[in-house]
Amino acid sequence: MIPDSIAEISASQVPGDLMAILPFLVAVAGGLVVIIVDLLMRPKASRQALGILSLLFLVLMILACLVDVGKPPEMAFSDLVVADDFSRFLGVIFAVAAALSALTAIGRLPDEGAARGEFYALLLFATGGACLLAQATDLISMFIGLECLSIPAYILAASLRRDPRSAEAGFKYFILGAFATGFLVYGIALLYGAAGSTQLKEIARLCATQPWTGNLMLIVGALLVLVGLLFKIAAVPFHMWAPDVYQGSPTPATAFFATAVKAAAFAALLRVLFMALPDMRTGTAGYEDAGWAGLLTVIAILTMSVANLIALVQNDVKRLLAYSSIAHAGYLIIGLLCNQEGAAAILFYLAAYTFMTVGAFALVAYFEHKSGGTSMTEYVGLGRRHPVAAVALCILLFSLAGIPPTAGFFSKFYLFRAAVNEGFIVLTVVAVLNSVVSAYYYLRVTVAMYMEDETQEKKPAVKASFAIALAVGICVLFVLLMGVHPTPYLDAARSSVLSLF
Amino acid sequence: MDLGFPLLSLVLWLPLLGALLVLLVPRSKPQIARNLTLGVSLLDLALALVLFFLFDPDRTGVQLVEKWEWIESLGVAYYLGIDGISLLLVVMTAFLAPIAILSTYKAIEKRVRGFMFSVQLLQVGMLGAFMALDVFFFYIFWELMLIPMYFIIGIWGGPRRIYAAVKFFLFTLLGSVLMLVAILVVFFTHYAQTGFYTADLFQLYETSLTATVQLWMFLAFALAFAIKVPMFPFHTWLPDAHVEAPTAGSVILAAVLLKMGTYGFIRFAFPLFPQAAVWFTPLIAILAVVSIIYGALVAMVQQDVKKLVAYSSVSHLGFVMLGIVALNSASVSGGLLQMINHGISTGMLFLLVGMIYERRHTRLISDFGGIAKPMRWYAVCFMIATLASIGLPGTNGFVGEFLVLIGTFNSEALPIVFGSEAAGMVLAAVAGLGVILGAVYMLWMVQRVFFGPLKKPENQKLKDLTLREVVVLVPLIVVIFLIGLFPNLFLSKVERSIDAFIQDVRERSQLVQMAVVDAEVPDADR
Repeated sequence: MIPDSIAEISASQVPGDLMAILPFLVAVAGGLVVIIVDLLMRPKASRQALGILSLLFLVLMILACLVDVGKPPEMAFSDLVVADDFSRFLGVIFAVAAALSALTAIGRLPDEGAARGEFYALLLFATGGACLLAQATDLISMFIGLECLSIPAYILAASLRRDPRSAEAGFKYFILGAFATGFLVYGIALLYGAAGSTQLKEIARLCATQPWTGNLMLIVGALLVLVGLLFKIAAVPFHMWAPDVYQGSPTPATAFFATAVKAAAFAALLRVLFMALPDMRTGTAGYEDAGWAGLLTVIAILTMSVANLIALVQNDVKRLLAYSSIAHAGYLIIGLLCNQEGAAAILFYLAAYTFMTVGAFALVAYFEHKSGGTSMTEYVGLGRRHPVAAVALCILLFSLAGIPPTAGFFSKFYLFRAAVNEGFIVLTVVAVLNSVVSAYYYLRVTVAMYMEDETQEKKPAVKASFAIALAVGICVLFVLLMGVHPTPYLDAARSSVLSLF
Repeated sequence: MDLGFPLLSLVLWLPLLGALLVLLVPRSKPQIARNLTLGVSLLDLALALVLFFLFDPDRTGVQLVEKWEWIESLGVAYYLGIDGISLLLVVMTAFLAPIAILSTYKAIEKRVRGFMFSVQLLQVGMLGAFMALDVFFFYIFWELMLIPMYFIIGIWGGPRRIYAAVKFFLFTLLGSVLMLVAILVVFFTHYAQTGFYTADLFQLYETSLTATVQLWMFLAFALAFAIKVPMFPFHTWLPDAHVEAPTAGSVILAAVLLKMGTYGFIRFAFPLFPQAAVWFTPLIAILAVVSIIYGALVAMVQQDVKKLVAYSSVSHLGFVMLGIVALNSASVSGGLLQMINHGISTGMLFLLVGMIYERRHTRLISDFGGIAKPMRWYAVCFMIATLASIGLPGTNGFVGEFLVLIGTFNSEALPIVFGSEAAGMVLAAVAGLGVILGAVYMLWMVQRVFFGPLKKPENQKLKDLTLREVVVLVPLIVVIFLIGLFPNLFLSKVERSIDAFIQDVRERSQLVQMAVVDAEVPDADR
């Protein structure tokens, strides 16, 4: 059975509707252009030009998001999607993450023997999917966006064809991703059964008009949708795939997964929780913890603590960053509990987190030798061999740890501020203690780079790639800029979440 | 006095400019980096001295205020200002910077630019923490100090530098993140009561918190500061950090960073949560006295001179804490003066230890003996620093310790909170024992290092102080006697601020009423 809303699309609305999904269209068109140009190029020719072409489309996409900022929310395709500041803010995050990953790919992939045009095309398709996901106001369009995002991501993970770890990463990502999608679809089906519609606002209406506590179909459906999305953000206990996938995938793809994919899944979570299930936040009187707030509190604590504790013993920097990205998802979940300020804090955090994480992964890609060395021992003495790059990595790591004056400090500060404001003191204390734990493993990298004695033979310096240097430079610049003058970004995040409430 | 000229900002940010300039110096020219840093720090000192003389001691409250909006949406303001207490600490910080930098001319030979960058960034953090009057702004500087100090210990430190650096970082961070949560709670409570967001410290003083909330908030703040001071039992990071840090790092750590903790108690923990502060006073007083005795006893058995000086810091800072909790003008003035004194004398001791280490590459007491003969002027300087450290009359240490002891002895607050008339006397007596122990371990060490037979052949050829070293030490000696002989030059600047602090805490903690009630009880019995 097709939901009514899809059947109702009338031809006359389409041009205006298309304008509403312009960022998505730009990204997808970019992907198609890249594929076609790739076919026209000689097989042996360098594919870096395609990377630059994809950058062009991503810049266009950022412009497409920015031109409409401030306009009132506009529904399109019979209320399947909405173009609001929330989706525009996230669209910029996706495009920036993809562009920085593409820059890293331009610098890194030729060394891996994986410089194929498809990489950039898939990156653009996935970015388009992320945009759609952030715009979705209906479970069906949300599902379509998620699949548009996920399927290219599975292929990206496996794109180092000669590396068995990359194949493993792709396979694992695919199997577990499909599993998560299964949960999500089943949840959507149950929610449709309970509410009679897949529209987020219809589900919200159902929850508002009758008590949800007795409605088993609604509860199970909501739970399954949540599980599906928590899989995507790699929240504990649904995080098992993330370290392997992040470690095995080519580093530029990992950067994209850790930022854009995570941000997109958070966008979907924000929409579902605030637009469809606001009334399920808490249980009935006497059972306040029974709603999703109680559930997410537990998941946030688990995610932060488990990921940070496991990260302590990692000896591979790429894997360490993978666990760190899981831990950051844990902090972000706190924002889901804190209403409007929390949502704004999530957006600001995601923006800052994108710069610091992509920057860190870009440097991992830069330091990676042909052998694929990302272990901590390879980082010994980097402070001497690559002074500028090492300083950049230090800044990004201190930002991830949340030390001022960096973007990481203000994003944690804003998030914890929202949490304390909502009265989540204990949760905040757990979070700040976790950030002390996390400081230890970020410090380990700086210890390796600057403090440990070089025992190995001198390694030749890695040739600096302009593209990676540019990506890292942009990341460091924004990490410091958002740490010294965060006001414009904070204000943008604040005004962007208004349409959710 | 409002100048219409951002003098505080200039003092604060000048080292940052210096730090950035150092990065432009080519790697092959370390001497330029050193001289540049020294020049900037001297200029900063000159500005800080202007500050000292511009400061009007007859006015209560903060002066030279600069306040601008910074991150309006979060309620964070760029808000600087100093009162007498912060004035002295700012001047001390600026005074010690060129001395510490000059001491590294021979000691730091690798990555000179990085070192000079870190030292100046650290300087910004320290000055900012003493000047900031917006709690969030303060917190940013408080955390900013961590990174450069971490690198100073970790890169230029001794054999166990990595362990020491990471331990220092994590201990301090652990304390400070809990403080951040407490700051946020106070911030929102204040908002709930007044309807506007501000992190202005003096407005937050007005927040009324229930007794239970105050206790928790005070604990969070006190943990951050007690780790920094460090008070027993939170002191374990200190010997590691001190021993492994390079000389200049130890000097700054001892002289300035530890004062962050005691300053934090005076500026934040006590006035923000006066009732809780009074409630915890017995605990702090006892821990302070334990720190005094414990630090002295552990210092006595050290084999390593630097470790001995490090443990003596625990003991000395115990006096400062005791002075603060005794809460009368003599004791708090003494505590504050002792903060400065400890910076000067312990800083000088670390410098002297560093000088001998550069010559002999050992700091073990047993490796020396009789070196007063080859190093006559060195021995003289060391003796002066030692006597200042143990508080010989005529030196700075005497004034500080004497005021703390007399203040504690006469304290009105201590008997009330302990519920016993003798509390002040007992604490003063035990602390006085600490003074004697201090003399014992210091003089015993001096005797073993400088006197007795000159047995080791390596020690016979030791060279006396160089001109550079003399230039490093003479300003410190001058200040030792300046404070020792004319303490009022400094105390007059802080008198008003200290009285305001004491009065504020007493009134709002209802210590005054408690005293009245206590006085009335015997009457009722009769």
